[in-house]
Amino acid sequence: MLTITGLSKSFEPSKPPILDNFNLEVGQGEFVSLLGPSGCGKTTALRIVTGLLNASGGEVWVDGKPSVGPSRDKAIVFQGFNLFPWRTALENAAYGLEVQGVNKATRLAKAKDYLELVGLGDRTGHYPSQLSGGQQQRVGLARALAIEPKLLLMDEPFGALDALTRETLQGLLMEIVTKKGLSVLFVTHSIDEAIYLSDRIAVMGVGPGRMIADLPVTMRRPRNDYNWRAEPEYAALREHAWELLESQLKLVSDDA
Amino acid sequence: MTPVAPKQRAGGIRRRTVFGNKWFLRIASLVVVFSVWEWFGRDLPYTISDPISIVIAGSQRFVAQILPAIGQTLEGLGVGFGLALLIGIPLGLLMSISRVVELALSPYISAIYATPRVVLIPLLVIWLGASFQMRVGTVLISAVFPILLNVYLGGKEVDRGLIDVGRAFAASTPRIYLIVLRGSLPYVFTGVRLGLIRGLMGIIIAEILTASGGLGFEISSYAKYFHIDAVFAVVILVGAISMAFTAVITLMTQRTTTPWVYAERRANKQMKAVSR
Repeated sequence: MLTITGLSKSFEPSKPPILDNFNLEVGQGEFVSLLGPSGCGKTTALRIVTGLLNASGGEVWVDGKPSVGPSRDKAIVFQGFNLFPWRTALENAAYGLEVQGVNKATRLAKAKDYLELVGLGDRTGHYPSQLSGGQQQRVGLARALAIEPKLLLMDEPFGALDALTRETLQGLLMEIVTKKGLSVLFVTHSIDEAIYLSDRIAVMGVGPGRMIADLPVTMRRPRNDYNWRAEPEYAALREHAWELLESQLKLVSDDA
Repeated sequence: MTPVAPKQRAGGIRRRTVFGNKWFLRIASLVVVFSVWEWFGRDLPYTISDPISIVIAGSQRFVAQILPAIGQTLEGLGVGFGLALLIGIPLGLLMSISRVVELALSPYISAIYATPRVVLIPLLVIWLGASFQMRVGTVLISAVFPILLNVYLGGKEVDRGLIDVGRAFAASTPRIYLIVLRGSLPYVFTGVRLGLIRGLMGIIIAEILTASGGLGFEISSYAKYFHIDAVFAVVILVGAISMAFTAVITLMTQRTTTPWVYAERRANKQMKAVSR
């Protein structure tokens, strides 16, 4: 579904590149997390895939076609929600469809369906300032899902939420992704979040940003009961991921 | 102490509600100021005049002279201000979005904004004569810069994340501009309010300087014959027009820029109604 080959990005030629020879594959219906310390370029990589940034080199392929710039087969959920404060939840959720020229009745009906899917069916007329952070991100998710993208991109979407809300939304996301068979590229710096959601975890290293490990998560699904975190496989995976991250954190602190 | 205290307190509260009422204070202040003006002004008709003479002078001249003058001034203001909106909003938007346009234009804009534009009136008179076009031109140069500058600065304040939403969903360029414009709407309205007031100022000054009709011309011709009462009547009218403009735009600003504030108020009212 998504193929990234030899991707590089540097903002200033005199400094080392943010990303260097970064390669990644996300299969159809696969959930892949980009896990890495801050400053490793994972958000940069995601923004390039979204089309918000131009790559300095390398290629991005989506669904067998080269992908340069934004397109309608990809949708992004932002960390900061980025809802239009002057639009209601329904109008925000319908934005992607509005941009595509879908007529008003159709797009509002569809947006309503997706708001219901994310559990906000009774808040359609509310403005973002009347919604909690978790509710706002549900709208953000509905907005992305409403255009029925082939690839869902998520940039630390739950990073700005409290722990309890985060877990609720992780569960909701899992449920929807499974139901719709979505392909997802998910940026996070939380090991637990990555293990819980992913089929594979791409661990990124710093200076320059590149992939240092590709960890398959073979744990059973669904992972929604309370005991799955107690399984030895979880602990082993977590430890492995943590060792990888720690080696990169040391590099960062040596630098500083 | 005990039997007296409650009465005193009740009296205190009553006094406070009378003097604390803002409408009471405003009306009382008006009455005092106008009475003093009337008292001294009656003996000084050629310097400060007095309120009653002003009302009489104003109403005598209203239909024949002042009303047509209002029409002339508002016509020039309307055309000039409309042009200022048509030029100022798109250009300000373009400056906030395009770095090239911003760097190319901002030195001129800042320099002209810092200069009082009325100094250009003599030039406009040479180019256009003491005409309707000259008055429109004065309004345009007075109003366009506050509008342009506020749209430009407001555009730069818009949350980049919202523009990212438009870009990520592959929105067309006009749609991206629309996000910037909507996001900077409070600034746009500030520019519109300042521009309208500056425009009114500009056209009155042009009319006073060139005797080309309108309220400014009325002021200068009454002053020439020492009709101080009529001058004051027009001056007060100009002030009232300016205040009315400001009030309307302020109301429009609140209604359109923050619809969620009204939604929240509605929701709060409903909650109160339910809990009652």
